[in-house]
Amino acid sequence: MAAHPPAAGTAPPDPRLTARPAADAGSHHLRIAGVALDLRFSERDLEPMVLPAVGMHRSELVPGEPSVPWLVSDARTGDHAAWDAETLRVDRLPGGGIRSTHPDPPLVEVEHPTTGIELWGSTAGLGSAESRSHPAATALSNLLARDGRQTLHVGAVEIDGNAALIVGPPGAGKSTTALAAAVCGAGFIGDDACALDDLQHWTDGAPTVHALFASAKLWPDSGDELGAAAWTTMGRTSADKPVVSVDGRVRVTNRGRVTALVILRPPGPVVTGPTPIAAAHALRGLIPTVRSNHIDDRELRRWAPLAAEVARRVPAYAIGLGWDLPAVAGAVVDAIEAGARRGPS
Amino acid sequence: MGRTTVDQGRAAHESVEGETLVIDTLSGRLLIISGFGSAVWDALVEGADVERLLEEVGQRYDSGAADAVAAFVDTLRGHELLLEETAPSEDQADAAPSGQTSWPDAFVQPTVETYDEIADIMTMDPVHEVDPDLGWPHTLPQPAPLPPTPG
Repeated sequence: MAAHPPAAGTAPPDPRLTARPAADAGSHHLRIAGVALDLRFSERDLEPMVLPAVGMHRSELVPGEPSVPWLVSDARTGDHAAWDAETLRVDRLPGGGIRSTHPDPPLVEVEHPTTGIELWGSTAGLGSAESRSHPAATALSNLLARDGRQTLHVGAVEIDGNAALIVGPPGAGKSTTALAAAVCGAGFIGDDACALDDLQHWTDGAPTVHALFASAKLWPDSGDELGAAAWTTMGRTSADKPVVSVDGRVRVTNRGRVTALVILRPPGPVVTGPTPIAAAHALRGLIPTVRSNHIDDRELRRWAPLAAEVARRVPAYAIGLGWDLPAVAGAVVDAIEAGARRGPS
Repeated sequence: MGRTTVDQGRAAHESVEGETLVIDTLSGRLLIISGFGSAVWDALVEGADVERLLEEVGQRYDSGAADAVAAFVDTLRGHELLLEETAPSEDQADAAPSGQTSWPDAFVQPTVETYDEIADIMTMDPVHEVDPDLGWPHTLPQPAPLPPTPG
């Protein structure tokens, strides 16, 4: 791998990043979990690869407010040593930055306090279902963590400003549950990636959960049951899981005050719950949801007290899934409303 | 025997409803401690002479309780979450064996459940620290993989 050492003591993202925003590609002002971003593209034809997942965060520019630059560029020219990596690789950069390298298809994310976010890759990399559904997820996660938000592998939906975190291991049905509720009128916050306020940002004894991406990964059977088979597809993941765009199909909302933890139980013949469960039990489900692409000791030290306080304060309910999706939606709404009535402990 | 303490540099821990959640931040392994184990953990957080602690447990409850606590402490040692001081320091020599711990009225078998979801991810996708002087792509040496611990 060719080395491009920067000046000693500095923490640049990458000396190969020389792309500049295209003159004809517009600037998109976004506000994600309270952070203002200025999203630009090196080529206008890259916009459809990113905007469907984050377009719902469009926001008016507040005069004088600083915003974080986010540049998306392709890598159709040039020699990129990043592609030499054989597997997904995450590097923590000096100065608090992070760099994620995905070799096949090529895709790089960099986030650094001095440069903002840079997402660059081959056309295949930027157009992959993983990137289109969660563009610059690692970079955004690092940026939001610096601003006091923890990215979690959870779903979330909202009713009247109150929200449920939908918690379960991979394959438990988070996406199906979130979309079942959204199809029935709840606000969709996310199906498997959301940001949660840290303890310093809580209001009235509860955290706010923030949306990141307006996309969902659904197995075909769930998609058929939800009527999502005809929705705009973003491709298929490496595990051949279809990814769909949800913006315009359901009501997408940017945040909600967490009044309930919903712990998903394995499917059965009938939908069960919401059944109140103990905080300690909820915590066992919540802990492994810490975002799984750059976990290290520092992230775990931040997460442990936050997860424990969420479990202590927010009422938790178990829901046993089934194919009666309106019943699943009803159970989620019941949990949100029951949690809101009970209030934080 | 000296004083035994929780390795606070490695273990992040929280108590919820009488259970203690411990995350080994080095490996990512999650431990859920319940029963009498939470009281023992609290004592070890403060620092305790384990031999004297076992005597106290044996006198307060019974010898079976002391054996169970000894096995529990060994489990924590197996997870490398404890630090041992080979000789008591002057200000600790006369300290109570279990510090200020208030023991529960009844003895409930201490248990440790382990979960490796996060540990597996950290093993598969470790985060590399970039050399602050040389910058990317130069990374600092990775720590050696952790040996298997009792699960």
